[in-house]
Amino acid sequence: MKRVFAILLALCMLLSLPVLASAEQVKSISIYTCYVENEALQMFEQFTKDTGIKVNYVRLGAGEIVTRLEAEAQNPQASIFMGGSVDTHTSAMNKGLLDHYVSPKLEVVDERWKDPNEVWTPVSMIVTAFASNTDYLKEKGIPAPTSWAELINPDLKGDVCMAHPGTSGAAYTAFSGMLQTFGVEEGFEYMKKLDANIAQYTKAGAAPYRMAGLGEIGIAIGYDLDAQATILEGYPLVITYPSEGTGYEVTCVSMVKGGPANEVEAAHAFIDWMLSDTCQKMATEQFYRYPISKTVELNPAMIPMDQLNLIDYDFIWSGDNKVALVERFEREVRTRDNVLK
Amino acid sequence: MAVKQMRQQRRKEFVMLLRQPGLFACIVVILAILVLFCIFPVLRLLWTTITNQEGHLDLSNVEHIMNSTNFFTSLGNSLMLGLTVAVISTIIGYVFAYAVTRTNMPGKRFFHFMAMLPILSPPFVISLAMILLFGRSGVITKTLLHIRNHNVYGFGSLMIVQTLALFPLAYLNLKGMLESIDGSVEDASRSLGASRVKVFTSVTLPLSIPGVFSALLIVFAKSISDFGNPQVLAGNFSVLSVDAYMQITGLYDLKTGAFMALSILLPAMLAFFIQKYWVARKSFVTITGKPVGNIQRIRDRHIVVPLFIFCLLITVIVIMLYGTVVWISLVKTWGVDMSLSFKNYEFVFKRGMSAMQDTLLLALIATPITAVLGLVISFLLVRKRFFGKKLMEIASMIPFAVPGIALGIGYILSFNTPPVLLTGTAAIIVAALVFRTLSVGVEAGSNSLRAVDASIEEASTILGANNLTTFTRISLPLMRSALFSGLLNAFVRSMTSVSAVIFLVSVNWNLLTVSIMSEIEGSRLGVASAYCVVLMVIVVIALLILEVAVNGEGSRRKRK
Repeated sequence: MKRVFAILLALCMLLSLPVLASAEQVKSISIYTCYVENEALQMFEQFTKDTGIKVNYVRLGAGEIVTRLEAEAQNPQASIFMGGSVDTHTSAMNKGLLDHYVSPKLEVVDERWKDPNEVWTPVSMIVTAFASNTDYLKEKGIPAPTSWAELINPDLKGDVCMAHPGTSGAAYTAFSGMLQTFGVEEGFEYMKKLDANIAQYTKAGAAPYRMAGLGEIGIAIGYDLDAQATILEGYPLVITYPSEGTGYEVTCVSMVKGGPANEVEAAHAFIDWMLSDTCQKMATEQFYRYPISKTVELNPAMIPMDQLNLIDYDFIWSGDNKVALVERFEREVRTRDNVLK
Repeated sequence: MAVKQMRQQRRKEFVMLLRQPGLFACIVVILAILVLFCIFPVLRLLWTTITNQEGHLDLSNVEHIMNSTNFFTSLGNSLMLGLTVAVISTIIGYVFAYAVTRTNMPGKRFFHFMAMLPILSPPFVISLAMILLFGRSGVITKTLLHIRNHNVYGFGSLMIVQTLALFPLAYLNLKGMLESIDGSVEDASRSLGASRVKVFTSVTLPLSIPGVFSALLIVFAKSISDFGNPQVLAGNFSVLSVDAYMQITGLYDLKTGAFMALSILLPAMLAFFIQKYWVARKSFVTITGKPVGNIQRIRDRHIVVPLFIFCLLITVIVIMLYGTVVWISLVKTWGVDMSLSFKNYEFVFKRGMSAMQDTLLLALIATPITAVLGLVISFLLVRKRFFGKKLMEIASMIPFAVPGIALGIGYILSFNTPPVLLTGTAAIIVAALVFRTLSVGVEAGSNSLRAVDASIEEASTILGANNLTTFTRISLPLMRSALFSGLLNAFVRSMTSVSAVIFLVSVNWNLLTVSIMSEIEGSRLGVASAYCVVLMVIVVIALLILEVAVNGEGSRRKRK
């Protein structure tokens, strides 16, 4: 008995040594990112190769990052908030969690994507898309849906899936884009009809594609790049875009207000690097992002933006109304049948 | 008059306590630690939810919640789920524990191991396996049974998954309890002519009531605060923990969300007090220090066979779900290219090494602290009388009953600024792991201590031993089974907890479960499963070492 304790005690003392003696010497930055783990890792590896700066990161959902930044506001632990849409960064900014930074590399970006408040830096664009399971389509004998209208067909009951617009940026962009296309009132009427066909509102934006890929559901709504990633894993999906109008988001990166002081320079270097040709090329060629830089060409496997019916997505409206719209969604759409059957 | 007497009694206790400075210091230190790590973060969070920016009291959030019907629907759903899961898990746990401790059923070691398997992995993995087996394109529902459009989401599946994930907690608790009941009491009842049924209903069951209640309590609290499973499997069945999470991370509404999460504490606390009230009124002492013979194991076929079949059935389900996880980790792309491949493991060992090392290291630090602290607290609670006892009891329960996200955020709010600056360090994760699992160790320890007559310890004290010697030489060996389950639980929970640490992992310290969650969100099920398998293998190895170290040591001593 005693011996076991002695061993355990010795073991945990020994193991805690490196904990006590972990003083960092190498230049490094701390990042909270909501990029998919695989993409984030490869980006960071390339960045370290290019600049010699080491990246320490935590991967969380976009909403989780904002919560964490808010809870840590008295003593921020990270320098950079990477990924997440304009409305996420706007709400973090409104809570006073982000700092100003204007990258000298911003000249490669079109004026309309720049932040008037000079807080967040745009780094890529992502488009709302549907992805349908090809086996499912064959079985049903229908073509892949190319409009919002097709999704409310009562035949598709329980076969459609999207994430919860509250927890997923992908779902909120789709939801807000749809509302902007149809108008808010008509959009909510549409959403109630769509709700009848929705199997589940998932937490993460990429989850519906996984479900579609596995054949759990037929059609998923979300971001095109997540659908592409699922296809690259080998799943039989076909991507289509809503013809009435497609929403999109601009992915951003921002400085965290009051982050570690010794990391500021390296953090600026990271934001600059995200606008570099190397990073922009990598993002489009390997991860199917639309490059924000004018100097980098689109991945030839992707459909050019001018061939999609993109709406004039209103980021300010979308960000300002998020809480109200999601609450209304909760009240009027999701919870109607939310009782035990 | 009565009040005066009570006061005198109190004073006498206090004076007694002061005469034992070691014990007194021990109590004060433990109380201080518990207040700092268990109560303060939760109160800090509560304070944040009911004040506005300027720090004035502002109950508009509470009003907002009370006026929404969703809140009460979700609360009702959570409670119903918790109660159902608690009852079923406790029954299954009891049957397993009874079969393992009281009968000569074949394959006991195997069943013992299988009953513990479900706590060896992060819970949402079972949910995932459930979907892949019983969902619309499920291997069983679609491929084998040709059922179309089988809906796996909702209350039923959630109940099954939670039961499977949580019955091991009940099992471990009840096994410790049943082992510590002196078998000779049952044998005596049998010799006096009672039937097996009679022995069970009038001796074994009543004596194991404390274990039953604490199993119910633990499973109930765990079920209503669970986030991982409902998030994957709940479908349109809304539960409070998920709603709170959505409120916090989706609507950036920390206040409302945190309040919802904290409200889960109320029913858990209520259950806690009911349990204490019931158990405290009765005596469950059976180990008295008087010589006992060996317990007679039940051999009757009509009892053993049904028990065996029941255990086998549950075991088959467990194996099926875990087998699926292993299977997913070994194929290229589930559902598309089912050929075998090690590419997921290659990725895990290439990329996941540092998270794996961090996880193992932190778990190894947290485990002995949790187990020892749990036993010491249970010893103090059951054997000693002192002021602040209630506080100690409640404090050790709170972090367990509160949803992980509330604890995580509470920890950040509390330990992000001096005087106690812990964010970004390993210490904050270790603290969260320790205090989140502490209560299981306390419960197991208290239950086995209650079955031991205090006079054995008194004898030791009379013979000149001090408190420490009595504790280490008498009480601790008698609590061996509780120590084992405490260590095991602490280690497993440390390796597999998610929602509490998701806000505490830092750029320097990352955990495996957070990586698993990321991979599931990124739809890479193969990699997520491979992580899980690696995690389970580590835990199983640890389990075997523990078995040998704790139980082997004990049986050697017995032989002497």
